[in-house]
Parts: sequence; C-alpha cells; structure tokens
Amino acid sequence: MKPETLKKISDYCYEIPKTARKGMRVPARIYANAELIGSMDDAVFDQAANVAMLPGIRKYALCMPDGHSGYGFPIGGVAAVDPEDGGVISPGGIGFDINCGIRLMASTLTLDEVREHIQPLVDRLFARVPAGVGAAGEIVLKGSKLDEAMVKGARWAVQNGFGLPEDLEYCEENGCMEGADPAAVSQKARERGKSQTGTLGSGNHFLEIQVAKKAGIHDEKTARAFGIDRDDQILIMIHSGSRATGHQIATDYLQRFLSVQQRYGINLPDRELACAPLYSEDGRAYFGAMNCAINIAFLNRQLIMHRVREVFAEYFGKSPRELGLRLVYDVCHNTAKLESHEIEGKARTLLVHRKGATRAFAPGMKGIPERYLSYGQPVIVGGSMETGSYLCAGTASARGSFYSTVHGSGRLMSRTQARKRFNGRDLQRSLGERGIHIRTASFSGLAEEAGGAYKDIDAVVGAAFGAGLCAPVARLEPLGNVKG
Amino acid sequence: MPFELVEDITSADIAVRATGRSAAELFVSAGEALRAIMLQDPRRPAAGAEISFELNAASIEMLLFTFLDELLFYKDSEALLVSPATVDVEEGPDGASLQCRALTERIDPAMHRFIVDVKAVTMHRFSVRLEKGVWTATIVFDV
Repeated sequence: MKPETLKKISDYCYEIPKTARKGMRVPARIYANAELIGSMDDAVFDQAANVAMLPGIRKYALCMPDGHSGYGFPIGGVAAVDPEDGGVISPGGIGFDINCGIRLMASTLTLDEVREHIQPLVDRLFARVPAGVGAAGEIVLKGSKLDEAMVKGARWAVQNGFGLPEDLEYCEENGCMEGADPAAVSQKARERGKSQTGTLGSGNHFLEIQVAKKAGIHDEKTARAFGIDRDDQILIMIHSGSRATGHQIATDYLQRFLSVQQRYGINLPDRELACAPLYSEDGRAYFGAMNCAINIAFLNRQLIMHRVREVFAEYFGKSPRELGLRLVYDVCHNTAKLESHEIEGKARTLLVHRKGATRAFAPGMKGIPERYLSYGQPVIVGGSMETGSYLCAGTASARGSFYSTVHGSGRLMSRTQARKRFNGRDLQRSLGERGIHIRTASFSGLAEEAGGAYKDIDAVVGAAFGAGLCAPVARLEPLGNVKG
Repeated sequence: MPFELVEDITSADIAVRATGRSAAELFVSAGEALRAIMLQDPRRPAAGAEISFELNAASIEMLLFTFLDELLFYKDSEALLVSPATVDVEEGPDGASLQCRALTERIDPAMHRFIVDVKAVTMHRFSVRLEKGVWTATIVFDV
C-alpha cells in the first residue's frame, strides 16, 4: 500500500479508510507529520491495514509517530479489542520480547560531580550488569521460585532484598501484573530463560547515564514533580525486557494459535497475526502466560536497577539514598492489557495491544502514582545513544489513541544498511570525543544502533506532542552507555 | 550459496533466504544462516560435543520453524551454539519429522563475537517451497 492512498485527517494524523482493503473492520490511523509519513516504509501501511482486520477491534488500528515495519503489527502499533465481542489476543500484537520496557532512575548528582567519572562508572556498570549473548544473571529461577517470581514480578525482587518497597509504586501495575498463570507457561519457556533474569540482553537494549540540562527542560513544573529538580541532573535509563522466557512464551502461543485459529473462524492475511478470542481457553491461556512474562520483565529491570544502585554506591562511597537514586518510573512498551476506555459514550473493558508503544495515562487517571496524579503518567521515550531520549507526560488529548504514545525514535535504516554505513569501533571513538563513553558486548551490534540508523527523536516527540499523544517534559542527553 | 540476506522485507529484524537440493540440505542451510547472522565469524565449530534430537510438526514448514526454535532454545537454556551436521527429514500423511545430529560449542565471549542475538523465528513471510528441485525457505528472525 502506498502512502498516497492515505487521507489526511490533520497535520499529525493520516487515515487508511476502512474501504481500502477487503476485511478491514475499522479504518487505520497513522499519527505522524508529512515528513515522518514519508520516511515510513510501505509495509507499515500494509501492516496497519491488516491489524484493522482483527476480530473485535474498536475505533481504529493505530500506529504511533515512531512506527516502522515489523511482523504482524507494525512497530508502534496499537489496537484495542472488545473481548465481550469476540475480541482477540495476538502475540504478534505484543512482540516476542513481552514487556520490553524502560525505567528511568533519578539521582541528586549533577554533571559537575560525575563528568570526570563517566568512564570508570560505565566500565563498572559494564562489568557488573550482564550484557550480550550468553550472559547469565546471578539468580537462577527454577521450579516454585520461578512460579513465585512470575506471579510477583518486581515485588519478588523487593521481597528478596533487591530494591526498596517504594520502587514498586513507580512502576506500571506496581511492577506486578495481575492474572499471571504459571501453569500456562511451558517447560521449554521455563528452561530457556532460567539464567537470564537480571541481564540486559542485546540489540537495542541499553543502560545509559544521562543528564537533564536546563535547556532541555520543556515543562519545569512537571519535571520537578517527576524528580528532576536541579540543573544538569544525572539520571540513569534502563531498557530491557522479559528475555528468553518471554521470547519462548510468545513462540509457543504463536504456534498454538496458528493451529487453532481456524476453529474460531479466524483467517488473517499475516500469520504473525495468529490469534484467539481472549475469552476462550486458548486466549485465556496466553493471557496468563503473557502476564507471567510481563512480570519477569518487571523483575529483570528491578534487578538491573538494584545492580546500578550498588555500582554507584560503591563508586561514590555513599548509600543509594544519599545519592538520591530514586525510580522515576518504569513503562512497558510490548503488552496487551485490559483497560477501561469509553466507546460511544459507554465505559468498556478493552484489551489494548501495544507493540512498540507506551501507555500514556492522562492526569487524574487511575493507575498513576499519587505523586504524579495531577501531572499525568511519566512516559519514557528511549532514543539512540548519540541523540538522546525524552521524559514526557500523558495528556487528556490522547483519548483517541487509547492513551498510547511513542516508545522510541523508530528505525530508519535496516540493520544491514546500518552496518554497511557505520563502523562500531569508529562510532565508539567519535562518541568518546564528544564525551559519550560507550561499552558494548558487540561492535557490529553497536553499528546497528548508531544514531543515524534512527529517526530524529526531536521530530518524533514533536509529532507525538502535535498529535496530542503526550507532552515533552525533559530532553535527556547521553553521557555513557552500556550496550548489550 | 546456501543462504542470503533479504534486504527488502524488514528494517528492525533480519530476513534470510535459505536453499537446498533436498529438505535435509535446506534445514542445514537454515541452521547455518541462523549462526551466520548472529556471529561475526561464523566458522564451523572445531570439535564440540555432539548432540542429537528429534522433532515432529504438522507440516514441513512448521517443522523448519520448530527446528530453528530448537536451536534458539539450546542457545539460551544451555548457552550452546548448535551446528546441524545431518538432518534426516521425513514427510508423511500425518505431518513431518526429523532426526538431527549436531555439533555444539559453548558460548564464550572471548571467542564468539556476536553481531546480534536472535530472539525468535517469526511467521512473517515465512515460507518453504520446492520448485524445480530446489527447496527454498524465507525466514524473518526477530533480533
């Protein structure tokens, strides 16, 4: 499908009409400005149209401004289905890395205090936080201990000494998704991820030391509420997911749905959209297993954050509390969650798939920490190691996107194109000259994550703001990065 | 060439096209492709321990999917890179099955330089075809 077939709704919203392709149940809407639309590959529009064919879908199939082609859903895809009306759950609408997400930790340190220490800090983080293929965490989760962890998520970590009780308040779902069913998780998934909890992973996963400079503050009042309360404040961002446990759960249920979906009368154009009604034996089983993976991801990020606190405390000879190492928030960007949304004037419980998209609840909505209630949910948008990231806030104007927004910059180049264009070691050197210290488990992988391989994050966040999906609070600049 | 990268299918992930003159060759090629996209230097393993496993699926296409998923399982659960040496594939009225004999090597960060980690085999554009005596598979790996 060519972008010329799109109908312009506003400067930041384009529509694929329901009539564009047989089988579409609703129109598809792409939130982006003309330039970003032009940079999207044609597969984005095909995939958004396919998503519009999901049984039970409500209002629109959506794609966020950082959208790019994926499998099943586009990356940046959002779809809300009504389970009471045959609404389905699809692993291809969530991704294999279930609850891939980002957490942001603030400190009371400033740039002047850490400028000379970035390199040793990054080196110590690289040594202490397992990253890359084959890296194992310090905790091996098996049997009943794994069952408990899959049900409790980050709460399991805090109960076992890996964090503070107040950390939980600042995670989506308080770091513990309800409805996890360990009995729905295969032995293969249990085995595959048993050593990976507390590891960063690879690809676009990272751990980054950042600075919030005064010039990058867009909304001082909200920044202060979120904990950015001094000039040149240091923050730490962690991007990781449910590791191999989640990958195998998604694979298991993709295969299962492929074999049963015809029984439910489902026939979709992309097999990666294989699905089953949520309110069916198959759908409920995946929902229970997926929630286990969501919790494993919360746990994973909590363990990594605990390790980061230890590294900073040892290095500076102060306690994490003295360093003000406080969790700002933890967001998910690969999930399907039951949420209440208004459809034709009535509140309905919908299953909202977000694949490479972030929940962005508006001020006053249930589910936001009390401290942030009047400011909106913190939204963490991870950019490349060269160009920076954003802290944003949810807004009331995001109702049309089921309170969803961007999750990152979005890829512009394929991985192989990026590897041809950039050299990992050269990149490390040039970033070092700019004061950004990088450690990586893979220089080829580093080249794939070069800033030039991604869209302009300022344009992406600007489009999200223009579309009313979220509001920028602070731009965060990279100082040091650990890449998996 | 037993496999090649396909550029125009995906931007965030990696697509390959693997070929073989028999189903058995195709499966070995697909296993080599998986190894080659992950490793900077995908030389054959020197002398790892040998393993064997059997798999069944409803079709030869799903058998290839299951086979690649099995290789990923060893990578993550045992930190083993598995290089299929021989794969005996059989198709019958009730589906397809295989017996695989493979060499393994333990992942060693000092020796193995990874380009990417593969998380999963996707069903996006996944296909296995037999045309003019050549088996061809298109596979998109999630990385």
